Amino acid sequence: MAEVASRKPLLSKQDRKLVSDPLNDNNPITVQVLGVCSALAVTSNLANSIVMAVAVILVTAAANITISSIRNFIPTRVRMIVQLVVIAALVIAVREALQAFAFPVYKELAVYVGLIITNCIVMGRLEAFAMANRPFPALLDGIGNGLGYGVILIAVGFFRELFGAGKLLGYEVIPSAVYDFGYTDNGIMILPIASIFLIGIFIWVQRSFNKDLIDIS
Amino acid sequence: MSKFNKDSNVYTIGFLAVLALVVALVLGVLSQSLKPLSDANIKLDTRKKILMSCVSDPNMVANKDEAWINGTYENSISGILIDVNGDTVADVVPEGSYDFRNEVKNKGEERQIPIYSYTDEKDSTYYILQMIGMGLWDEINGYLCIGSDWNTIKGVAFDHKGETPGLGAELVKPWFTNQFINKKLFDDEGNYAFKVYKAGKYTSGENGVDGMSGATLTTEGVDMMVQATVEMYASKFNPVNL
Repeated sequence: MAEVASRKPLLSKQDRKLVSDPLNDNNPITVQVLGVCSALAVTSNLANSIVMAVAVILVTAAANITISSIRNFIPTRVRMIVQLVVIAALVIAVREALQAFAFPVYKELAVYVGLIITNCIVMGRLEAFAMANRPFPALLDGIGNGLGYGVILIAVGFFRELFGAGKLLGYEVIPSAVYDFGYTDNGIMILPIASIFLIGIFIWVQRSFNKDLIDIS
Repeated sequence: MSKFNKDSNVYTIGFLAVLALVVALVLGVLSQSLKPLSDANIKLDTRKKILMSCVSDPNMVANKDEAWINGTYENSISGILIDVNGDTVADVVPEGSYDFRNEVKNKGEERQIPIYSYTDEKDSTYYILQMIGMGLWDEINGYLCIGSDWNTIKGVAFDHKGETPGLGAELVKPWFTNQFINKKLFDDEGNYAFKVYKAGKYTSGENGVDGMSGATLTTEGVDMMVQATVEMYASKFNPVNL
């Protein structure tokens, strides 16, 4: 009996919830409205969105696991400084890696990658979750929140590049015949303001499907 | 578990000191081990910018691979360093070790600045000058390619460190840089006349281009950078009436 009880699946139900919750019910962008600044700025094309999403997933996951591992040793009074130092170090590491392995992306995104340090999602998860949980759940929580952020970023990037430039990942996807009929690319989609509209629409759609999110008060 | 007092001053300071050491060590090792790769990227990017300033179709350079860029660069571009009097002091520009920013900002009259020459398919020669200036937030820089009359602009390529995306950062975009092509730096009397106008103020003429709307200070930065470049290379522009 005891044997059966101790043999848990790799990801228990709570563990799965850690990853799936931020994708919908507790999405960092559409529900918590965190990290919107970078969601507006870097999503002008799909490739940038994907890189930013991956970078944030890496940083949230690594920061969560690091802080969670040392949570019992962090002096309470300076815990936020410690969190910031860890995040800053990880962000610099991501920057260096981009500069070495993806230089064109680095040139485009260097400013925003630096701003991951100030992305509220990262520090929010450290303070709210990693400081009070073991490393493995913290890792899952980091990945989940990074994914929740990334999914929205990629969706915004998808629509902005598709309608703003008629391309996806740099490849023409709208056939030239459509342009011959008088279709033109929508200039506003390449401006950051388009992301506000898109994120607003996402929030609207999500809330109309997810009754838990409707705030009656 | 609480064998030590986590909130004592000594522990707090000690913890932060250890943390700082560990972080510095990890980042230092990482940075040093990735340096060869990023240096190679920077060198390639510089070559790409130089080519973009002078070839007839700059936009196609952006999509070319490393082999094409290195091949074309080595075949058609050569660089020299000149001193403040315009005398040649080196027959090659040492890529990687030559630091233009340092020469311009710190060396004063001692500075050595590069001139690259580009020979196109029709054997015409063009000269490429390096530029550095200040945008709104941070440094802007680039290359200015001019014809052998030292007046007609063949092309420009700009780069920046932190201009605002969509506004000042537009300076790298073809719609802005293509305006410079075939414009002239000097008027008929030989006075410096080139101007990057405030957005919307440029109407016509061979001595100006239209600026970026919403980015007045970056636009002014580009204007000042071009003029400063002509001043810096004054020994080659002859006569120069600024």
